[in-house]
Order: sequence, then structure tokens, then C-alpha cells
Amino acid sequence: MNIFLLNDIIVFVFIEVILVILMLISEYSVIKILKNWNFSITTSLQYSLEKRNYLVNTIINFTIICKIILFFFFVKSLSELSNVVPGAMCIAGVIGANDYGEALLLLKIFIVFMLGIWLIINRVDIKSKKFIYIKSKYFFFNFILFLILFEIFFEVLYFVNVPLKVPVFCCSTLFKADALPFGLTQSNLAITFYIIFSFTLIFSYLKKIVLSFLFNILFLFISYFSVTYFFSIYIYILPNHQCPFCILQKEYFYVGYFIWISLFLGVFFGISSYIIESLINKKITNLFKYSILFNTIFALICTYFVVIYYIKNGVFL
Amino acid sequence: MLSRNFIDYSIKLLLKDKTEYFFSFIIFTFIVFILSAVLFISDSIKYDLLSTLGNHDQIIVTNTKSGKYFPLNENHINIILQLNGVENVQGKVDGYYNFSQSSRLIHLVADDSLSDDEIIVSKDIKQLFEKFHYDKEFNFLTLDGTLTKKIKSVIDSNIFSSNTIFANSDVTREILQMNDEQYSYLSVYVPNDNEVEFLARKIMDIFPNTKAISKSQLQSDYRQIFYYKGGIFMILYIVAMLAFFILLKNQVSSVLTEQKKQIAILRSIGFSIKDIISLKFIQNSVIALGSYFIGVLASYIFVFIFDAPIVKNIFLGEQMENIIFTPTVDFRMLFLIFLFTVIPFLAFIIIPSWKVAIEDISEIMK
Repeated sequence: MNIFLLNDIIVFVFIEVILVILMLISEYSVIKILKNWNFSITTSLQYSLEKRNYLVNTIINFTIICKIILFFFFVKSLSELSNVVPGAMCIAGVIGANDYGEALLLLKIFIVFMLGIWLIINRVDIKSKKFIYIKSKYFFFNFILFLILFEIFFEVLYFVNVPLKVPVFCCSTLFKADALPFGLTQSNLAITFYIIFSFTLIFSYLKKIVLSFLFNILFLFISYFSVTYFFSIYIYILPNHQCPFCILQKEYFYVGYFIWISLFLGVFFGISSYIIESLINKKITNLFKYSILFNTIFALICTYFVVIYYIKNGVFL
Repeated sequence: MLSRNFIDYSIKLLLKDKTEYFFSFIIFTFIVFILSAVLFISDSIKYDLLSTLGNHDQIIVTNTKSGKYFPLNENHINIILQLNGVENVQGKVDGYYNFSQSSRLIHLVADDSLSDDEIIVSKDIKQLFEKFHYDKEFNFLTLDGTLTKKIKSVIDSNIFSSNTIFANSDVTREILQMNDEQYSYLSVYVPNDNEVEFLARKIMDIFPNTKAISKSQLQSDYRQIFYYKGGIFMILYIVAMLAFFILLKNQVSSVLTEQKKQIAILRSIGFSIKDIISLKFIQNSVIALGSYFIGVLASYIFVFIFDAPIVKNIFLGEQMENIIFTPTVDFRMLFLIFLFTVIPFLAFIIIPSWKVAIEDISEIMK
């Protein structure tokens, strides 16, 4: 039995390969543009390059939409895999089945992140009417393409190494309570979470680019641990079930998707200003309002479960 | 610039030139139809297997002797009952009756709700018997002579029951020539789910010749068979799809060269290259989505309402004419079909659309 004969995996890899081929086609145009672009001259070469620019834009926009859809499909495939991989109860077991799983998931999230940043830069570039940022935009694109090639390689490695005979660990053994960072206890973790959350709100409101960047990164880190070790137990209503993936399942009304997407978007808008500034030297401050919005949604969803539990039972878990 | 009017205009334009897109629409619908029909059938069979499988049996114990199946006896039952965590062990009788007139092995299952002189058969077996004029009763030929049993009733066929005769355990033993002390397999009931795997291993330690399979293992095995067969189909399907998309690309290119004039006019009244690309993209999305919905709906009707007349035999062979498919369509399946068909379709459209959008206006207008 080979993992590559699973329907979901075949479809997933097939679409990924198609997207990579599209990206490589556009890469040919990107290299031409990087070599010969000069907006101030009126040669036929420059004219054809401007036409090529449209193709690259179309392809990348298409790829980004597909990548985001595929990311959800990837998560769904993994939950399907948990029926086949012995011992796995949810995605946690499948991801932890070999050394590549976690790195692959992080890489995927990072790529979606970078593609989002690329979209914003592209929008700024087109708005400028003179394509001021075109070179830095396409250098950045080359970096993303490199990541995507790396990702396909990693995906194949990961799927090949998913064990189908040897039992893997389930989430209750992977997420032990003593794995908290900096020796935090659960209550301290929750307090830290709210403190850092209010800092991100303040800095986003004041539009401080660097501070917002730093605190949002910290917030992402703390949020992951808080959801895994503190908030999730109130969603499961079980003091010893700690898992960041089980909340994605049907039994919990897919609430996990809302939690992780709102966190991702909040942090994305919080730190993208700094990254864009370091890439193209342009201050963009109108994104912070989205950061405030999504981070607040994220915190509200998490807090809701704790509060509801406390109102019903009068105690904390 | 994606306003409602723009989308409206693109669709109107599409309807105006519908004959040119008709070919790709029909072929693509057919492709979606075939894919979803196969996936629906295999998913439905899988669902039937998994839902009826091991409903009551948490561990199934079978015995072998020199590598062949061999009956179990009371001794096995008594020893397994003494294990901690086991609540109940039932000996079950089943086997295959060789119906030599049509050279067919029929699955014989014990069902103690029946009396000594009657049997229940499935629809397919009933039809088989009628061919040999066994309308009301059936004669089992055994070494001790002929046993005549009345056919009490007929049940519907699903993947499990299509090749089955039910009789009570004494009759079953008589037909299969087993002693009263012997059992074909044991069904072990364990109240605590967490102990099932451990106990299965323990039973195999005590009796090295036996094979104890837990329910979850059995389900996982079945799943793997399906994944395997589905996977082979998928690989072949990818080849067919690629061939179609290459056709599609050429077809789209030829359609677009015919429309060059139209596009040049649009460009000269102020549409930008980006607008032309989005126009083509919207039109093709409408075609792809339309094909997807029609294809999936048609295959749903084909599989679950008409029970997949011809395609069924590819999956199940000749002897399962009357099988019924349980309608099971989940979001995952629809999502998978969508990704597998619509996204490549649109990916193959991008480059031809761009090529026609950047044509030199003055050249075409000459």
C-alpha cells in the first residue's frame, strides 16, 4: 500500500504540480522583465515586456487563490488520512507521523503569508502607474518561487514517509501540559495572552510599524500556545484534551477554522506594514485597522468559550 | 473593474457565441460526469462496507491449521472468556456452499431466528435459483443426502448480502458438514474500547495459530483496498484529463483567433488588456462551473436513482445485478471533484486568453 494511491493525495499533488508549472512559465517572463525593464524608453521590447507583465500578474493572482483553496484541501486530506494511519485520531497524529510534517505545515503557512504580502505590493505598484517597484516586486517573487519549489519537494518527502503499518502518536500524547514555554503555568499563560493582545491593539491603533511587528509576532507565538493549552480545553470541555487540530473537526462545528483564520489575518495585517517597508521603502499604515479587527475577533471567539463555561459551571477547568 | 455590468456583459457575450464553446462544454461535462460517477459508486460501496462491518463484532477470531482455515472449538471460547476485560464470546457459523450446477460458491450465514426448514436468500440468489426452477424451495446436496428447505423471504442486495443464504445454525452446520462443537469464527465483545487492540494481541499470543482482528483494523484494511483501487483509477484519469486539456487549449486558441476582431473593437473602445483577460476568465469560469454542476448532478441521478446500469458491472462483476447504492455524498467528495476538474481547466485557459488580449489592434483592423 502506497500513500500516493490515495485519491486525495493524488489530486493534491496533481494540482500543486500544475501550479508550479504555471509559475515556471511566468518565471521566464519575470527574468526577461528583470533584465531589460526600463519604463522611460519606448522600444518594442519594453512594450512587449509590459504585456508580459499582465501575464505574470494574472498567473500569480490565479496561483494565490488556488494556493489558499489548496491549503484547506490539504488540511481536509490530512483528516482523511487520519482514518488510514494507525493510531492517529486527528490531524495531529498525521502531522507528527514523521519529521517533515510540522516543517511542511509551517512552510505552507509562511508561503500563503508571503503571497499575501506580494499581492499588497503588486497593488501599490499598479497604483503608482509607472511601475516604480517592479524590480523589487519580482525579486521578491523569485524568492517565493524558490520557496514553492522547496515546498513541493518537501510534500513528496512528507507523504512518502507517512507510516501505514507502524502506529503513530495521537494528540493526547503529543501535547503534554509540561511542554509550556518559559515555565508558564496555564493561568499565567492566559494573563500573558491578554496583556500582549492589548499591546498589539494599542500599537496598531497608534500605527507604530516596528513595535506592531514585534508584538504581533510575539502574539502569534503566545496565541498558538494559549489556544493549544488553555482555550482548547474549554472548547472540548475536557481538562486533559489539549490539541490545536481537533477543533477543526465537525464535532466542534469547525470553530477551529474561524479561530486560526482570524488569528492569521490579524497577525498578517499587523506585521505586513513593516515587511513592505523593508522591501520597497514605502510606509503603508491603512492596514492596521484590519489587524485590530481580526485580532479582536480571534480573542473574542477564544474568550467566549471560557466565559460560557464559567457561567454554566461557576469554576474554571 | 469587476462590476456587475462587466460580468453581465461577459456572460451575454458568451451566450451570443455559445456554439463555439459548446464543444468544450459538452466534453468537460462528460469528464466530470465519469469522474463523479466512479467516485460516488466507490464511496457508496465503501460506506456500506464500513457501516455494516463489525457492527457487533469488536474482535473477530479465526483459526488456521497449516495455513488453511480450520474451525475453532469450545476450548477456545472458554479460555478467551477468562481474559480480563472480555465480557462475552460468541461462536459463529458461516461458510461457503458449493452450488455446482452453476459452479458458484454461495455464502451461507447462520441466523438463529429461522426455523429448521426455511431459509432467507438475497435477490441475486433468488434469481439464480429461478433459473434452475427452484421457485419455492431449494435442495442442498450434502454427503449425507439432499436437504430441502423452503425459501421464506428475499432480502435486498447490498455489497455484503448479494451472495448470501441465511439458515439457522444447526442447518448451516449440517450443510457445511461441521460438528456441534465447531465454530467458523468467534466474535469477542469487550466493553472498554481502549482495551480492544491489546486483547486482540493477547488472544494471538495464547493461540499462535489464530488471527484476531479488531474492528478498527478491519475498517482500515477495507479503506486501504478502496484507496488503492481508487488511486489506480485516478492515475489513468489524469492521463485522460491531460489529453482533454491539450485539446481544450487548441480549441480555445482557435475560437479566440476567430474572435480577434471583436476583441480588437473592445480594445479600441477603451478595454485594457487586463479587462480582456478577466472577460475571458469569467466566460470560462461560467463554462467550467456549469459543467461541474451539471456533471455532478447527472452522475448523482445516474448512480443513486438508476443504480448505475453499465458502470456497476465494471466494479462488481456479473453476479451482482440487483445491488442498490446507498446515496452518500459528502462535502469532501464534491470539493475533491471540484479541485480536480475546474482548477486545471482554468489553468489551461490563462495563456491563450492572454495571447489574444495582447494582439496588436492596428494589425487586426487593417
